Amino acid sequence: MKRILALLAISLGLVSFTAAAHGPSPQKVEKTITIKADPAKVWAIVKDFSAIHQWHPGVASTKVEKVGDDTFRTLTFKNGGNVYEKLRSIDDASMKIKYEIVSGTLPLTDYNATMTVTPGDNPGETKVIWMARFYRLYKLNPPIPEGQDDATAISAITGIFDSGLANLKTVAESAK
Amino acid sequence: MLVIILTNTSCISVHRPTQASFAYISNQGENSVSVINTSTNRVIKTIAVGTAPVGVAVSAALHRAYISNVESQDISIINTQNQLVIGTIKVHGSPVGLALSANSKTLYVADWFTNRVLAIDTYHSEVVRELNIADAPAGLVVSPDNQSLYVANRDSNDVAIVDTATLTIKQRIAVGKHPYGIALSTNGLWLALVNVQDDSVSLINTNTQVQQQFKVGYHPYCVAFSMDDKTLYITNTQDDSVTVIDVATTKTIATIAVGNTPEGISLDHEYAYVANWGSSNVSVIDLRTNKVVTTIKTGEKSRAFGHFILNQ
Repeated sequence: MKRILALLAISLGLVSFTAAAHGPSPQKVEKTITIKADPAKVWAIVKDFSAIHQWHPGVASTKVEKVGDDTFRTLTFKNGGNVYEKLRSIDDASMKIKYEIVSGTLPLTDYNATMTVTPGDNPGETKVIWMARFYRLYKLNPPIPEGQDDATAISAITGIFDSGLANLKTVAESAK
Repeated sequence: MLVIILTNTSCISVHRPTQASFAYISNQGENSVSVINTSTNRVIKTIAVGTAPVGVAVSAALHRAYISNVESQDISIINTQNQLVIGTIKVHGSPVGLALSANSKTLYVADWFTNRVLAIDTYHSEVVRELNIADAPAGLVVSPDNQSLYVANRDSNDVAIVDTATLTIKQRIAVGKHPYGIALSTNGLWLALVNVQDDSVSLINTNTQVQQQFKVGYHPYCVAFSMDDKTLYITNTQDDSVTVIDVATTKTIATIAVGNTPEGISLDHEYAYVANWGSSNVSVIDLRTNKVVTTIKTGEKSRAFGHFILNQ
């Protein structure tokens, strides 16, 4: 947790995620956790785009806004960083929520993510798979400045996913 | 004399047209290429290449597959008869898209970061010419008459038509936002390319230059024509699907669910092979039914950018 907060604290200013070129190779972080709770109960927590701060230990607050038909949220991290995200879709049939980052302080670009809830291997168990595709921040050829490389981007998202899923398990298993 | 005749007979029987076609799937996450035999749909070999392989070009005439390794800044040459790496071409830049000339004499390389297109002599395996093109060149394709090279320039939002004889730009055509994957019909008449940020495809008549744009799925990536040029297949990276388009009407015929984050697509007659980056596998679509008939496990983060099926 300390490591991810340190990474989130890297002051990079607001990064535009859509306009310019990105690195040549997309990066992936995929994490899975098994939770001892029914899929429907876990899905109810995961699908709530406005309430990630209720289960993610790194998120201080969530502010949701509607722009036309689109839904956005601003997450403020406990270390003071932030991220502005757009909801892509919530699919109750396949228990899948998709969203993307529009802008923010994370050291990456062109970020798309999916959280999928599926029945676990045993009755009363649920698997949550959190997967993201993104590019490093630095858009040009090597040498790549420190803090803008693939490893930094992967490490930041790995920290967010690991700590988030661990606490999602705690929250879902303790909720009545 | 008898022995010689028997030997010849034996040779002829070996070389009867039972040769398989192969799909060369670049796996970014494990620096390898999965070779799929398309008659059995099995991976027959996994070949170690450079770092973060992406682009693929194949030549039956040369018995070669070329793989661009964007992070190690080089191109691996694979002998398609024994599936061994037989050489590496160093490129000072970030090679992404690859395309071979119709006569296989020239390999064109899109250099993503230094905004160049390189022309490599395939006989000597060295860069012979280069051209400053535009911002972030990605997909490449050469006309069947070998006279034109088409380059999708992702950050200039255009396609450049390059005279292959002089390696100079003949023309630029403005397209949608962030063009990436590109394909040409077998007769050379239709040029199709995806506009990633517009969620659309541009279809350009190469004679009249009239352009049609139509919507497909979210963040399309690559495109391929059917063997009869009547149908287009487009991978939609963020929708986990392939859109099937009727070229004559530009109407959507079908949307096919495939693996996670599909990137490259190539056709082998009645089948389309789709490399799924997110699920690290290949979806095989029967084009007569527009259904996925099998899924083949490949390597981590499969990309296969370019025409990656070798029909021998």
